[in-house]
Amino acid sequence: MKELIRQLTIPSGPSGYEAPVKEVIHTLVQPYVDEVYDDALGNLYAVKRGASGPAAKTILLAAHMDEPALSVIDIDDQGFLRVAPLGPLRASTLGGARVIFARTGRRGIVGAEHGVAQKDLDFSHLFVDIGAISLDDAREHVRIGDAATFAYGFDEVGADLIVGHALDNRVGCAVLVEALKRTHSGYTIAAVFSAQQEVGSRGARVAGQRIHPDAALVLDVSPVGDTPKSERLALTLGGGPGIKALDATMVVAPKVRDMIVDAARLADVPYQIEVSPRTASDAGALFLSREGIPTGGIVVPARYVGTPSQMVHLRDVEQTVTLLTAYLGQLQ
Amino acid sequence: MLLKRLTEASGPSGFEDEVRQIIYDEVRGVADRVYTDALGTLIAETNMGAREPKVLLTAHMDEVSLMIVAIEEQGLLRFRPNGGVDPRILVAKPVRVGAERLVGVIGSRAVHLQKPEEREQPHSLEQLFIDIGASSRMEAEKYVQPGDFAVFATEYEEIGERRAKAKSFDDRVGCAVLIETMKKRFELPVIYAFTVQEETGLRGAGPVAYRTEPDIAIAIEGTVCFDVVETPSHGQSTIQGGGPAVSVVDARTIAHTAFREHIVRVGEEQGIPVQLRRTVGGANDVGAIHLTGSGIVSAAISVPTRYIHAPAQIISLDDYENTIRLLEAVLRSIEQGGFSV
Repeated sequence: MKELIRQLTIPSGPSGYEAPVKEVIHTLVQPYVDEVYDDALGNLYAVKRGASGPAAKTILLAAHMDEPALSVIDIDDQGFLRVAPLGPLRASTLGGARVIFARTGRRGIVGAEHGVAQKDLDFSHLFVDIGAISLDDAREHVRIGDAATFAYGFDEVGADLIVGHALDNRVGCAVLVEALKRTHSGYTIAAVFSAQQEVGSRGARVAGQRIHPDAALVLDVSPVGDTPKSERLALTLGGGPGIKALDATMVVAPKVRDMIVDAARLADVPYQIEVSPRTASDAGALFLSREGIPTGGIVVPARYVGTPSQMVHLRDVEQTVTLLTAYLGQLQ
Repeated sequence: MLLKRLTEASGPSGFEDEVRQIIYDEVRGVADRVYTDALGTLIAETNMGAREPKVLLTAHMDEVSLMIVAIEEQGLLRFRPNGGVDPRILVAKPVRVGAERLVGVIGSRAVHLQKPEEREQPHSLEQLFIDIGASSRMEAEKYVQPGDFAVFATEYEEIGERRAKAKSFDDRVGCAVLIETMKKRFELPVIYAFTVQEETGLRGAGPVAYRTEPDIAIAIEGTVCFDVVETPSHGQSTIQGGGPAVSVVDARTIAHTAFREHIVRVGEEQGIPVQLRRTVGGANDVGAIHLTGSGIVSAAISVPTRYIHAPAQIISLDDYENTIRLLEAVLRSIEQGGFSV
């Protein structure tokens, strides 16, 4: 799993320009599915037909590929770039950040204008330095509309912990890739590697309308409450997969949640219940598609969500795959 | 003069009747079929039997306005904005109230009667009212009821060299671009939708996209333009006279990369000035359209509009005409198979 996650964390996937991530996933899932295609929003669909034949019901599994990014809105005469946020980023935390442009791979550093108090910093005070010496030089490497993500990559901390700027949600993508590989289900599995989650689950909304599944399940990370003076949250790192009860986008029906809990018990996988009222996910957008889709979620607990150093326990990831595979295996 | 008639008409969100009638009279002899939907959007179909891709073009008819919510004892009208209006720009502006287009003026308490701390602050909505010259509630009630709407009273005029000022260029300029474009014929099924309630949350556009199921959609807009004194380049959004602005990102949409790049390329090839919209704020009908059904390849092309959402807005007539040229060139390129979905 560790290598798969590392591989998925390398490409940059700003909201709206997930192509570099999509290419890697496409290659990885191709051998295990019957059909792969994409759409106008940038979603990647990988469909594995159910064992029960043409009458098989469909479950949609969603893991978003995108990560928050900086979108270039201006380039000045000296070649400095001005940027605006795509997704939830706070200007006051970005000074000195290292970034990479998804289209060209050019690297840059976020700088801030002098004379503005840290707490008052907004995006109009920030710029990105890509080492250009002039406007023309900068234009060789970056265009208005290009997007940059963090460039911290992947690290291991101790024996079982991994850290990365895009574990939210390449970990979910890795779980989904692995499940496609291992699972045999009576249901047709429509795996959606979704685009544009960080700007409001736009990819998931379209995917729900298009696939019109009988059920949907979201795979994502979710913040834990186990660090010094952290926010009070139910999840603990290393405590096993979180089964979604509630997030900012939906309340999961007890029946849907209990089916996953039962699968965890049968497979002897430790689990936690995710109650995360400020965490956004694709669940709400899928839940409200068309006439409404029974939707749940399985999440990997993560520390430091919303910073460039999200931390995840590898055992939680393994157990999430085990739980998901067990759940899908029992669907007939 | 089309821009004059369109901008001087009253079209509060949800009450676009006057604008719709003007457009209907313009397009009924041109389109093959013209109809409205339940929300009031005017839909004009052309050449629907032609080979696909099916293209949806939209411009919204509605404008930001003020709704009368109460009549005070002295005959003065209390109001609330319908759509995004900055209360700081309202004091002393002339307005037209209701279907009878009564003349009114937005008033406030006199400066010498304000507390010192109030003078430091711009007027809030609570301090403002519309004066229609009535001397009592009873007199005012003869002409106006709560639920009536007021729009700015600005007349269309051409000023300077190739510029024009009016109210509601956002988005009557888009309506005018669509009407002019419809007169050209395309070997494509093209649907022209004049949408409602954009300013109150993009409500009209989604149902049109759902109904017409286009392969490609383009919204024509008036958009923010702050190329004025003491504004750094990264605060301008667009430049007046710099040509039609193609959206990259706004609050509701990340533009389809290949399609927006195609539009810019077409402009460059045809010698039409084109700029990118350099901000991520604001929104337009594409926000609703591109999420409809299985997702729709879409773009927004806008005429830079100074002092947008304010009583007197300014556009460049060159930008307006270049937007018509660019839209035609983009449709021709699609017609000739230069962009497929």
